[in-house]
Amino acid sequence: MLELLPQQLANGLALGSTYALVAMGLTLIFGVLLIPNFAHGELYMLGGFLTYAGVTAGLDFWLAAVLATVLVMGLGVLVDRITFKPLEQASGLSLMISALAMSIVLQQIATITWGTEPRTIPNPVPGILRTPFASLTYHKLLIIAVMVLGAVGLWAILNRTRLGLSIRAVSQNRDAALLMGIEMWKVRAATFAIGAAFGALAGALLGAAFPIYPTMGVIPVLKALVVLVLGGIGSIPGAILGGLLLGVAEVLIAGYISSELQDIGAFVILVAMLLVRPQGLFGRAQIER
Amino acid sequence: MHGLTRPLLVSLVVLAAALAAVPLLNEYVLYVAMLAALFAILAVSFDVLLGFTGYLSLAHGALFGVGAYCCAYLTARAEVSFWLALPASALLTAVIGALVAVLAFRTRDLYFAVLTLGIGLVGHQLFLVASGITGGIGGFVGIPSMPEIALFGSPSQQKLVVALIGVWITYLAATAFVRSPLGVACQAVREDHVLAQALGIRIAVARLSAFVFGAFFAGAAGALFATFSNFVAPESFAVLAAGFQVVVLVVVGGMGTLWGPILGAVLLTALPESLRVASTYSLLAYGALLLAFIIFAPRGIAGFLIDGARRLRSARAGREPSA
Repeated sequence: MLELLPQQLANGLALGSTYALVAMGLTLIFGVLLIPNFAHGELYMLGGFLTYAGVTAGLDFWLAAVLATVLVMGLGVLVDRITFKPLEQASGLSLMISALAMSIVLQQIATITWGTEPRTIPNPVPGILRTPFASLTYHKLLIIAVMVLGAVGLWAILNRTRLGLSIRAVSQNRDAALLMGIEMWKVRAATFAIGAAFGALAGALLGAAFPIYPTMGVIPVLKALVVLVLGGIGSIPGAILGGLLLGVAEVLIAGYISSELQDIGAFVILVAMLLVRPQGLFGRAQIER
Repeated sequence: MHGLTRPLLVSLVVLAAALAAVPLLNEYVLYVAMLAALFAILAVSFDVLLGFTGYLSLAHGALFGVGAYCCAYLTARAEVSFWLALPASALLTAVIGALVAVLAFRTRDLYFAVLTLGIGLVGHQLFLVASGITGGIGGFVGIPSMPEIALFGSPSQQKLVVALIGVWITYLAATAFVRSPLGVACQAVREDHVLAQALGIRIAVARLSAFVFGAFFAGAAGALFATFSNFVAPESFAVLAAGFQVVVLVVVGGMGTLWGPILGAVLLTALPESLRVASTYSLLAYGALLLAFIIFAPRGIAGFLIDGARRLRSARAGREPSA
């Protein structure tokens, strides 16, 4: 059993990278705008479907994935305009209900457009990398690479650009940021576009190995929310480490205990984390009971 | 607890009117009305948590399923009488609801919604996996019908009458609950739970009782659903089925009123059926309606009616002195 451990860890890191990709978008939007974007899973799903549509229309996979990502970024901004902007003054409860409604609407639009039967995109990077310890498909390596590049890119945007400065300012103190002359609509649009890009990329990449169907976003967004709880809501490093941790934990549970328990395992981790350390690994403790 | 006479009388009149209409309906309308009544029970019980306590739970559909499977198992396998199985299912669902609540109320807001979403998904998964009890994906077949009550007419009429009485009991119980000290404490939690706590209100007891109240009636609705359909399958209790539907019914009907959700359940169950809208579009329509209402009319249909009644009254009051 133990000689399989390096392989398990490698698989876990690959799975965790997809969770981290989805979670980074979700945590960015929540951390900056305090919006629980349940519809993030549907942006992920649409990333997969639009890539599929591009590939079936004869486009190259990479071009299709990039196009899909750009389209979903626009859609993310639109989702914010329709779903969340009108509720700026409303309670968190309304935001959650409206996010839930939008996620159902997008799911149903996808169902009507593409039907419920699963689709697949031909894998653009076939082949396996073999090392003495573990072998990984190139597809999994690609996902890990995109996750790392995405994280670096996000860090660069947030810390090395003026836009990133305003995003960080809004996340620290919205009112003060507005008083400094930061234009809120730009920050909202940019945050949603960047967040949607992460969801869409994950969907496009995963679509190349797993079936694409309209409700495929539900489980990843739940997992991403588990990741947020693990890492601490609003923390980008938390999303990455939380994602990797969850991926490894799930693979180990599936490998050493039972594969049926994989999804329930994630849930048990969620409950345990909420009970022991509700603010997450990287979150700040709230003094409030 | 004061002021219960008026809701009691009004609801009795409405119930009597509904019961009087039962003999006039054909088989199909009886079936649709019965479904609407079951969803009304579910929606009213859910509103105690969503509208009065301010917590969005996505596990209500799973609790509905617990009641349904419990009743199915008791009546079909253990051969318990339905009239015993009904309260037993409701009680068991309440107990499971209490366990879920103890866990879920460690959290608030988004975390609560996520945790209950997870519980809803796991619940649905368990209905699929525990095929020894639930029949798995093929569903639970051969649930005995409710014992005949010849007084209420044909079997379909009997079902509707029992369901309507169920709505009435649920409505009265919910009214009594939200007006009791516990219910008032729930509303304090909804408005500002920190302030409520600072005022010495035991918020943990209040919101726990709201959740258990909702679970009890969700279980009862599930038991009725099982015995009326003679068949239940996990698909009915998925988060995207009943779990999401009750949110729509309550928000469209009117959060924070107890008659609004009944209205929502009746309109939203009857309309698609009567218009014969293809079922592929019904979930889309539900999502779009929910979105439109939460943005433009967060108080739901009940909000329109309350405003309309107030305007009518003030118009009349304004006219009287001149007349």
